[in-house]
This record gives sequence, C-alpha cells and structure tokens, in this order.
Amino acid sequence: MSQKARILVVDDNEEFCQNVRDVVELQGYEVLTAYGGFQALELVRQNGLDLVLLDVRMPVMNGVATFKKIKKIAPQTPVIMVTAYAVEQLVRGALRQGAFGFLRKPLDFESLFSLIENAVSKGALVLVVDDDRGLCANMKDVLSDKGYRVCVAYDGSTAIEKAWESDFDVILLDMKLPPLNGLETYLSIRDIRLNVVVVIITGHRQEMGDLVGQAIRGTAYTCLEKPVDMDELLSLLERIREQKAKGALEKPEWGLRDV
Amino acid sequence: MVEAAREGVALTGLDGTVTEVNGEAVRMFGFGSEDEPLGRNALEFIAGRDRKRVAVDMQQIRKQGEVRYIDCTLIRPDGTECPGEIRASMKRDACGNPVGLIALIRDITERKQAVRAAEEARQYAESIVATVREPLLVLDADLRVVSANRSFYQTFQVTAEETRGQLLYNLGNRQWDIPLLRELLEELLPKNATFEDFSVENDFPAIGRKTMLLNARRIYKEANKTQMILLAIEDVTELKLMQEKLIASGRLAALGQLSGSISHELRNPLAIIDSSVYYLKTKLRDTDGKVQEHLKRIKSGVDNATTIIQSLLDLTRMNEPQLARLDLRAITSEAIAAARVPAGVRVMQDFPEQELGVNADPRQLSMAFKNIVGNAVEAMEGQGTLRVTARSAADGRAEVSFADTGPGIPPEDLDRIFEPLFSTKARGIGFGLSIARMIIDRHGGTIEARSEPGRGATIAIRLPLNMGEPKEE
Repeated sequence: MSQKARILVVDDNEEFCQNVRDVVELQGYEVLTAYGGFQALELVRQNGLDLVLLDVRMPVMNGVATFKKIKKIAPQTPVIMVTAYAVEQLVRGALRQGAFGFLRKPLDFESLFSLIENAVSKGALVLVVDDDRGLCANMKDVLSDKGYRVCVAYDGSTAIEKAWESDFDVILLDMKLPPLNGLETYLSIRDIRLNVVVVIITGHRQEMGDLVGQAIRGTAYTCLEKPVDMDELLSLLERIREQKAKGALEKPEWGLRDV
Repeated sequence: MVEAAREGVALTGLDGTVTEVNGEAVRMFGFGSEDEPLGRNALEFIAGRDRKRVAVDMQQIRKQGEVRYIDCTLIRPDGTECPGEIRASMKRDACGNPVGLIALIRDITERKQAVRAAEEARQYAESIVATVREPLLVLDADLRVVSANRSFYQTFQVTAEETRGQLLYNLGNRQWDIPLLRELLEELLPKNATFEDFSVENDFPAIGRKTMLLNARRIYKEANKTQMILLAIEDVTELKLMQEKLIASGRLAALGQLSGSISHELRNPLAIIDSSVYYLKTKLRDTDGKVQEHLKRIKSGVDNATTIIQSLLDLTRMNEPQLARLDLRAITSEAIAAARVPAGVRVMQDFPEQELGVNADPRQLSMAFKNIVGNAVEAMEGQGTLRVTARSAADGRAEVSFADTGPGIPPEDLDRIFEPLFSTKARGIGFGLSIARMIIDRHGGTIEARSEPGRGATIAIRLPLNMGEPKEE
C-alpha cells in the first residue's frame, strides 16, 4: 500500500460521503470530503491529492463537469467516477477524456480498494485477458515480480468491465475468448480507452488471422503468439513503457507484415 | 302472318331456293329489298363451316317432317356473321304434300353475349373465391356444404369428399356445432341478416387449437330462387397471440419504467446502509459471533436488494440484440459455467458433434441461459440434476432444453411462469424467466415450459438455425 495516499471523496449525499470516508480511512488512507463540485475544485486547488472519488449525479455542477475542471487544474490526478444511475453516456465521455475509472453504487469496497491501489501505485498497470487461468496466473506472477500491477480477466465481458473500472497502461488480450471474441472485446475497450496499448495474444494465428489483422490494422499495438516467451513479453512491455514516457508509440513493423 | 313475326322468316322450295322473306329477315341480313334473296339457295346465308351440318339437318326435316332447332352462324351478303338460331319445319299444300320449308330465324348475338357475360362473371367469382386466403364455405338453406375453396381444405387439412354435402355441424369432430353459431346461422336466411366476427376457439383435428373469426352473408340465386349462405372463416390465432404478447410487453415496459426509476433512487440509501455495514464489520471484527451474524444479515439483505434492482434495470434497459453468428453449443456451456451452479446440482450436457449456428447477441443470450439455469437451480433448492440438451430440431431450428429434477410446475402455472413478477418461490420476485423470454423473443425464437408435476420441469428454447458460412465482418 502506498504511504498515506490522500483521497478526496465527492458526493452530494453527505451521509454516504462520510461513510465512504470512514471506510477508506480504515484502510489507512487520508480522506477529505466535499459535498459538491465547487467545494471539490477548491480542495483540488489547495492540496496535492492522489485520487478523487467523484459522484456523477450532483446538483449545480455534475460529476462530469467537475471532472473536466479537475483535469485542467491537476491533469495528473486520477479520478474515479461513481454513480447509482444509468448514465453510461456521461461516464463514457469522462473515461474517453481520461478519467481513471468507474464504479457503481452501492460500492463494492474490495473493488474500490484495489482500484485505489491501481490508481495511486507507480508501477505500470497491466490487464491480462485469457480464458486459460493457468496462463493468467503465470503472467501475473512474472509481471508482478518486475514491478507491474497486474489484473486478470478470464472472459471478454469481465475484461470490458475492468477496462471501465481502471485505466490500464497495457492490455494483453487473447483473441479467442468466450462469449465475445477478442476483436469485439478489443473494440469495446478501445471505445472508452483511447490511449491503452493493446497487445494481442493468440494461439490460433492462422484461424484467428483475420481478427488479429483487423485489430492490428486498427490501433492494436502488436501480436504475440502462444506459447508466450516471457522474456520477449517483458522486453516488449519495457519498450512500450519507454516509448510512452517519450510520448511516441511506435508499432513494431512485423506485426503488420505478418498477418 | 309472315310480316307480323318478330323473327326473320324465310320460305324455300324443296330444293332450298328462297321464295319469300319478311321485313325482319331483310333487316337481319341487310338485304336491299325483300326481293334480293329470292331465287338464291338458303344455304348461302349460312357460314361456310356450318353449311354441311345445316344441310344434313334440313334433309332430316324433309324426311321426317318434324320441327328442328338448328344453331348455326349466319352470314350476310356483306360477309359479316352473327350467331343464329333457326327453327325449321315443313311447308305443305292443302293436300298435305310437302312443298318447301319454313324457317324462323333469330339473331342470338345478344343472348350469346349475355350467356358469355354470365359465364365470365361466374369464373370471376370462382377465381376470387379460389384466390382468397380466407377459408370460405358455401352452405345451402339446410346448412349443408355446397362448396368450399382451396384455402378451406388447406387450413383444415380436409378433402373435398369429406366436406361437400355434409352438414356444417357434422364436419370434423363437430367443432362447428356451437349453440350460438347454430342460432345465428338459422336466423340468417329468414331474416336476411349477416353476422360478423363471431369468434370460435376450438381444438381442430389435424391443426390444433385455433381461434377463428366467422363472417356470414346470405346469397340469393335468382335463377333457381334458392338461398345460400357464404361463410368466411379467418384464422386469427397468430394475431391473438401477438396481441396478448403486445399487452404483456406493454405491461412490462410500463412496469419497467416505473420500477427503473424507483430502483435508481433505492440505490442511494442502499449504498449508505452497505457502506455503514462495511465500516462496522471492519471496526467490530473482534466482537462476539452474534454481532457479526447480524452484520452479515444486513449485508446479505442489501445484496439481495441490489440484485433485484439490477434485474429490474436489466429488464428496462435491454438494448436491441447485436446479432452475430455463434455456435449455440459454446454459448450454452459458457452460460452454464458463468451461472456458478452449486456443487449439489449435477449438470449433464448433451450436445451434438456438429456446430449449431445461430444469429444471436452473445451477451443477451448468455444472460437468458444464465437466468434459466439459475431458476432451475433455485427450483431444485440446490440439489438435483440439470440436463442440458442442444440439438437441431425437426422444424429446422436449433433447440436447447434445460430439464431439472425440481418439483415441477403445476399445469395452471405453465403459461404464467414467463410473466414478470410471477413467482411461486417465497424468495425472489420472478424476473429471470421474463428476461429470458424477452431476449428469446427479440431473437425471433420461442421459449416454452413443459412439466409433469413431481417430475421436474423443462424450459425449451428454439432459435432459427444459421448453417451458412461465418459472416466476414
């Protein structure tokens, strides 16, 4: 756990806001509260915050409007949107503009805690999506050892859900997934996460060739074949990290030529 | 005498030479005067193709002396023709010796036209009757079937032999023997009444339970002064089903809207309870069992409420399915896996070797199957066997059936278990199967429940097969 991360909880429902503060404090974080957008912006300006938990539906200035202003004041501060309502379009808009994640009310606190950790930790955030649980576990072990924060999903729907929850740096995506195929999963994630780097993993290169081709011709970064060479994967992730730091991603050429 | 006749009259000698004609004959043939035809052979005024036949008839008259009607085509000096009817007989002198023939001639153009018009009208009417998709019956005054159209035979799967001449009430298994219908039909002729949209719901042999609308009208035949009844039968079974479904889905939509907005509002207070419980659970970790137990109960109550709200929202916010070609076997086993069936329930899957291609929205179909599995598990109270069978059915559709070993569904509830809010369970409020039905409906499929009480229940789904090649996206 990071040292005393400072978290701002924003909700016009004061009781809920205080409850969340109490629960999150129990986890050892420092928590501030705001009951409206303006008050929240005030606190964002004053303090070096590590994370903002922001209710979407608030009077006067709603969560999305507040989020946009926070992005201007403190662009590096991750923001997690929270809502009890079906306001997917609003949330989608916020995610596209770089909100870190999204959670539903009532809050699943275990999810909230891991989201907070995802958001405030320094290591790159990786999502491994594969219906082969063994492979997921292995990748998680290998990558965690190297300082990455790793989440796993065994099917497409869970992967999409996770992508709504957290802003992953890299997604390792198996092309053959139940019940959605890899391409559909890829497209749904790409729809909300414009900057995520997606590495396609496939054990069915011939069979899935067309899907892989479509994804790569789109915005997927590259494609790895199973069995995945862990060293190759690690150096690929390292390369992505460096390129991202420089602000210029370069797709490996072979990925295009090969499929 | 000759002049007074309204028919053309011609007299000839024994050799057929015209000796006298009347004014009507002059008009009929367009002669310049009564003298023009005199001295010419009468056969010259018969069209060439009929001449031989008429000559033979004339011979007969001369031999036997009787009166004869001869149908033939008349030809005028200007070459035009018209249909004619000739009534010829012998002309005798005072001693009774034959001296020639008397021919009474009629131009029957108008009569022929009237006959043809009548024939055309009849054919026209018959072709309408044959073409109309509604089954039609023509009954006589005794309510016997005079005729039926093709649609009648097709609809009721009967032959002309077993239908014509039968009393209406004796058709099939006497399904038309309905007191009110009897009354209506029997009053129809004397009162020259009609009736419309008389609804008959019955089990018909060969075609099953159907709802028919009857329309009847009196037909009066001038020619033989008889009365008949035209009975039109409209099969409205599908229409009625659609209407019922529409009402049901309307109810669902209204219910959904209301409950959808309430659910959202409920989430906020639930979120407060939930977060308070979470705090207390963490804070009171070291307290005695009772406190923990109560906290657990509050938490599970909140979770149940949240699940109910989620189902309500699933109902209201279901989008149109995004169809893709899928293998039904794969979707089914994934849904079963996702349903997290408890250990006490044994799941047996019986799937065919070859793929079952269907056009479906994977998420929605998966949700439908998960709900059905969840319902079966609840019905079995977590103990039993769930047999899931996928196959391609005889009607060319793909079928998946989920058979449980629970208590079964009483016959009176079979139709109702897909209704929203219908639940026989003490727990749960019965949305799972409604959601499943809504999804299957939207996929153009059917869902039905079969059960013998005490022997479990089976939910069977049929979806149109798509055996084509996977679509290139």
